Amino acid sequence: MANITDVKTADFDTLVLGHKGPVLVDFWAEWCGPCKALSPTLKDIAADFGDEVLIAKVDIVAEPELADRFGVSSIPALKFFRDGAEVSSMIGVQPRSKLTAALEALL
Amino acid sequence: MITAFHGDPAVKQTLGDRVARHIADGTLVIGNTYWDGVSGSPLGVSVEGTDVEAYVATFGYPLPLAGMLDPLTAMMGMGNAANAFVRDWVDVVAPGADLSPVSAKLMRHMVETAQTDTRGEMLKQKVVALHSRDSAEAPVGRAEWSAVRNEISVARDTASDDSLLTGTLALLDAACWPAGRGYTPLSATLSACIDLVTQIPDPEWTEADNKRSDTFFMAMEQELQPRMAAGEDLDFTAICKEREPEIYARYEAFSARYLGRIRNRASDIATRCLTEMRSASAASRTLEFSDGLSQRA
Repeated sequence: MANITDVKTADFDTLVLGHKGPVLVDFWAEWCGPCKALSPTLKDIAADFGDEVLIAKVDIVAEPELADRFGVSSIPALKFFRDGAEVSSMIGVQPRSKLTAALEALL
Repeated sequence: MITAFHGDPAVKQTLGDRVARHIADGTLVIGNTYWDGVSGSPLGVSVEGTDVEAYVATFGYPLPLAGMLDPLTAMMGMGNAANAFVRDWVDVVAPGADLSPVSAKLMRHMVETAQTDTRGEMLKQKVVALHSRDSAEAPVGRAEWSAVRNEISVARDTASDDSLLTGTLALLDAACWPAGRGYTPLSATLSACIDLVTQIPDPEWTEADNKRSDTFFMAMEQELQPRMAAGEDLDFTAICKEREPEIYARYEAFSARYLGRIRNRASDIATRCLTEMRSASAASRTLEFSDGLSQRA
């Protein structure tokens, strides 16, 4: 099954910003219906890319500091990082093809 | 290799009994995946939860196929056809069958039988060709899928507002992924197939019909809504029927045709799904038989 990493405030810098290569971070919450709808797509993407890309999730209810730090005001919010720098973001449920194209561009 | 019911007839019996009991009790609810402890969707009552991975782990159906159970029955609508499909989904599968080839065959069927725009035909053939070549033993690489998807994306960017062409391209975009793994390929393609049949123009329902009925229903809503909000018990449908019987009858016939297209397409895909699962079960039995022969020899 797909490997998606749950990230906390304490380990965000190490796991996400310290990661060499592309990272997709999904800011989500349990109460968010669209976030749940996006979940299977993210699992498929994690399986498609394997070790080439890190797929991470941040629960904004449990980790409000991270939501504030990255200016998350609407979820699902998807942020793309490469070698520790945020390079782009998307808001809302996105098709698998759009997310895949964005990650392939970062490889 | 994961096999249906892990080769255990008792697992199949348990699932079959559970599904039959919920149908008999009226606690099988056709629609989105859900389970409330008493009633649920086909997947919900099967695993007594909402986790598609639990379905895969417990009953040995491949993930893409298991992910299609609820969406497909939902498109068939409440009723005997959907209930029969849910029963057959279990009945036609032999314990020990390898269902892994079913997903790709079903994907090809959905793409090949889609009434696509001729301008999308070349891309359609490219998607079908990828699915024909893709297998567990020799998977088509991610770069090849991406290359065809990029062509689809360029075509979508340059497509006009023509809804049939955009529907065709959306279907091909949904289908351009390996069918044998993942949560979404079959369910997303099913959804795009259904969207596409709703885009096909209805020759008996003109733009003038559309405008006339919109105007009428909006006027009726403006007239009746305040009275209903004030607590008056009004039958909106009956009043509309009485006020403009001709407009209402045409609208009703149009709605029935629209819904019929969705149901027909879903039934066609469901029928093919059962055919492929039967075929996979038969192939597994043949393999068992030939293995038995060679062991005796």
